Amino acid sequence: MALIIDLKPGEKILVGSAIMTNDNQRTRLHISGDTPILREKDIMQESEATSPCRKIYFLLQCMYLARNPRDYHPKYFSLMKMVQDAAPSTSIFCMKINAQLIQGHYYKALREARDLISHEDELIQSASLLRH
Amino acid sequence: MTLTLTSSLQKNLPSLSVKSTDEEWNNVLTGFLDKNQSDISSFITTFDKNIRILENQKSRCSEVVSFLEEAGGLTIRARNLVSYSGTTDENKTQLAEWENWFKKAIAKIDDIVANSEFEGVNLLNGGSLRTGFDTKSGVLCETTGHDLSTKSLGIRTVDFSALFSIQNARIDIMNAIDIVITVRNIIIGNIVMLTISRDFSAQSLQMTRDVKTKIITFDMEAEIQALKKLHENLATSDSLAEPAQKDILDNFAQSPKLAQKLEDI
Repeated sequence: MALIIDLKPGEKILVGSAIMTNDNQRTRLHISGDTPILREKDIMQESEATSPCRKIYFLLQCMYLARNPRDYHPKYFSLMKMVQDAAPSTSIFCMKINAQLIQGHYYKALREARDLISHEDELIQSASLLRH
Repeated sequence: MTLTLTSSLQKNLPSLSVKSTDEEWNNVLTGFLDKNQSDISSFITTFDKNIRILENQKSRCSEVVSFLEEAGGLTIRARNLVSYSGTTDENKTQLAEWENWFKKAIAKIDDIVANSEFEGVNLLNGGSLRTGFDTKSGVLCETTGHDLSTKSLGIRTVDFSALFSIQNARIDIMNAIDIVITVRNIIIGNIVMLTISRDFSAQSLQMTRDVKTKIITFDMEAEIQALKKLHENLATSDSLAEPAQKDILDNFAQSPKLAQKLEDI
């Protein structure tokens, strides 16, 4: 089944290693195949991976884009372990991410990783609330 | 003691309320981790079974290749004999013997193809093997076989009595070897893919086991401090992206937005 993506005017999208930029009107794309597809809003640059859980998201994104995701497994598991050791409550998200990866669903794993980042953000925000 | 959950935790553990007791947290989390552990164990069982099937089918393909090579060797010997000394009476006897050996080798191929079913799968007669976990999640990998019977491979009735028919047999065998090796390479590729997923699952399972021993309570303050410390430790770490993915992301960042471009014009 083809993936349907609605693009806003001027919106960029990554299809495999190709960058597609929409013209100045709305467009609907039907894409089939196994090529990694990331919308502009889903793409995280390494400079934006400013927290441990954002780094996990970034690594997942790299795995999704890589021809051989195995290259990232050592870094990924090492970081996952560090995050889980520091904050065991993150394990719920980590397990859900792994379950998606095992089934080859990288995009869904990225969606789960967004929940992980939200959890981390809330924890850090709670710290400032606890201090006051 | 009650604990406050983040909204992401509530979303993922809907059976817990915003304020939950340690005991509730423990029960729900243990249930979640047990389910996860059971799911991953079942993934591993599926991977192990399908890797075993593919390994078996790869070996059967190799056996077919061996017999094809044996038959191919006979066509070379027959071709050389006829090329250098013609079809003398003495050679005819030798050619008839080699033709007989050729037929035996070919018959063995059909025998292998007919008897290659392993755990209900025979890729050598055009069967396929799907690796998936449920109807919702789709298929992770599908290995489609090919009918490798000599008829389907296009090997014609052999005749070593003339040079042109020996050449035809040689061509048939070479084409057949190409087809069988292609099927074997597809199987090998899928074995590699499933092995990677299996290794990943094994590491995920270990992660689940490790965390089960640690996650007794949800100490928010301790987690916040530990996360901050980890953040500081990781701040100076090396780049995470490999060069190929770094290039893709750099290109994406550098490609101009069309909207901006239109404004510039």
